[in-house]
Amino acid sequence: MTSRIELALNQVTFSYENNRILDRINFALTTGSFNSLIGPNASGKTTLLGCIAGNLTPDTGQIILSGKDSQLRQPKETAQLLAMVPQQFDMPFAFYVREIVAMGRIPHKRFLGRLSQSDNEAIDQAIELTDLSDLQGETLSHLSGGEKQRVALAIALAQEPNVLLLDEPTTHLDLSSQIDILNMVKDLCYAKGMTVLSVMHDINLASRYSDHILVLHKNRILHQGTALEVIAPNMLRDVFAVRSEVHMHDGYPTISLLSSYNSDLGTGQ
Amino acid sequence: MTAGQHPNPSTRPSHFVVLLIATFALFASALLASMVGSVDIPLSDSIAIVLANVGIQTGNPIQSHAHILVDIRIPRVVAAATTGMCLACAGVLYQGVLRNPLADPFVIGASGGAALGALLGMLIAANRILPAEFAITPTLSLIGALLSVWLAYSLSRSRGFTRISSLLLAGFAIGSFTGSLSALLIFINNSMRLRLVQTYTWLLGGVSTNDWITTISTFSLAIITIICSLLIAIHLNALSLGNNSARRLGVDVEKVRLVAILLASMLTGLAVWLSGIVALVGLVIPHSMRMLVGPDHRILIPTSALVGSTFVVITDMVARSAFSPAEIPVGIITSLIGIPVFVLLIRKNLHQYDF
Repeated sequence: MTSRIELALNQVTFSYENNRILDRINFALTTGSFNSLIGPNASGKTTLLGCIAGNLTPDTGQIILSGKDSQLRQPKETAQLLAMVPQQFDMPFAFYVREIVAMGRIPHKRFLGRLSQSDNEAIDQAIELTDLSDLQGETLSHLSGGEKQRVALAIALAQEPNVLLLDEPTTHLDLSSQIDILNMVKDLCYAKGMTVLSVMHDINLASRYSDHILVLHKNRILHQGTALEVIAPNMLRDVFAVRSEVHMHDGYPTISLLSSYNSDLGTGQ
Repeated sequence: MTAGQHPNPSTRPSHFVVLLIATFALFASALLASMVGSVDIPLSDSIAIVLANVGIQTGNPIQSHAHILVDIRIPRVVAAATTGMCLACAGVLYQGVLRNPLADPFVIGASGGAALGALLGMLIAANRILPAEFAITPTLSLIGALLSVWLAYSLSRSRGFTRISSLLLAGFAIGSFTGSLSALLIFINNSMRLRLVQTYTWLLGGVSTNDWITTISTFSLAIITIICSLLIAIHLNALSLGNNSARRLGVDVEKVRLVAILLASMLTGLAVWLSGIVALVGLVIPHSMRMLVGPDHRILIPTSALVGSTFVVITDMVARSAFSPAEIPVGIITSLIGIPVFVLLIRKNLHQYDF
């Protein structure tokens, strides 16, 4: 596999009201790879996605998206290359699912532009991939959490981006929906060469699906590499303050939690 | 819940048909409204007079009818139509930009601010402080609307989030405050106190009759403003996904919000200047049109403009003929219709918005 760099961060630093949230973040993601970002609460994961997505502007450093500093790109140009699925979203007005997914085409259109043939194809494909065909004529208020999550993913897919960011895509989902959505995204990496960066809570899912895992701890990338390289009892102790066993299952490192260092301080030392 | 229980996108009526029917309804209501009043003018006379004015002689209409129609009724109908389309579109824009279906110019205090501005403008104009060419009344009306919205929005916003209950309370506070200031102004100023009934009628939403130049210029200004708002329609759609999501679709959120609020306040200013506070048109019309054509602003804006016009033309006709010879301000009727809709909307949104 030729490894082209699709997204690279170079010394990215971000502060909010004098608190440093991200400290000199460096990493590079290859085209068509599935990457997970893990780390405890408040380690800066969502902020990092916000910076890459252009919702937040880093204090210093560069974000190179598809070969060009994304700060030099117009927001519309960035939106043609990069999409993000937020943790949750809601609509105050009763748009139909298909109309919502069609909003993913906005970066590709002029301001009054009608949907072209290729726009409609992209929308159809996004709806099909996310298995929303039967729900096209629904409004968001009639959908379950998992279905809403799929709508959010469909908007992003309709954008036809090179890079897809996901902010904890499995949070509100039951077990089978978690697997479904991750399989869906993983297929997109292989089939379309989409580069995925996903914030993950579940270490075992991250291990199973990721080509590359980034560990964010205390505002810095502490470890990065394959699941085999990264997921280890020491990392879990240092970053998540848990005592755990890591064993191989199905070829993937899998963790079993034993206890938390916070609740039974000292017993694991 | 299965998909079959809910309408498919294709079941929404065709945009072309909706616009066609709405345009026809507007013309029909305008024709009716110009015939009905303290003096009823028959249809044949109305048509003959209108045709005579564009150079086609078809009959001998009564001369007094011609005067009533051309100098009084038609300008008034145009003023009512302009008021309706301004308020309905202002409602759509405020609702879109604040992501809130209850954001009507009256509810969020914009109308009250515009009325206070317009009153100040009338005072300045009456005292000849500025040259007459400087359209001080509509300008101050616009500034009043803008300032009120800005105040309501800043007061109700905390941690980057606007709660609907806070916005309604802030709107209520600003509406009441500007209302009291307007009343104060009317009572302490001699010339306004002398014309108390007239001024108060205007304040309660009385469509006034103006000369043709004023009527046509406000009408054209309203049309231009509405065309401008159509240019940001697709971006307003994106805003309903939330500011961050819209930004990630390449939308310049700050610019769109600023432009939308400016346009909506301009429309509110124009409507208030023409007809005082005609309450809740901006709530009732966009809400019912959303149910008819869906929330896409590209169709919602023109449909609301047409139906809003028709609504105010008809209610104004009722207002001036129902209790004839007494004329009641149209704002009273729109309030009587609008408040129940407002209450229903609050009930419906109670869960969604976590008051």
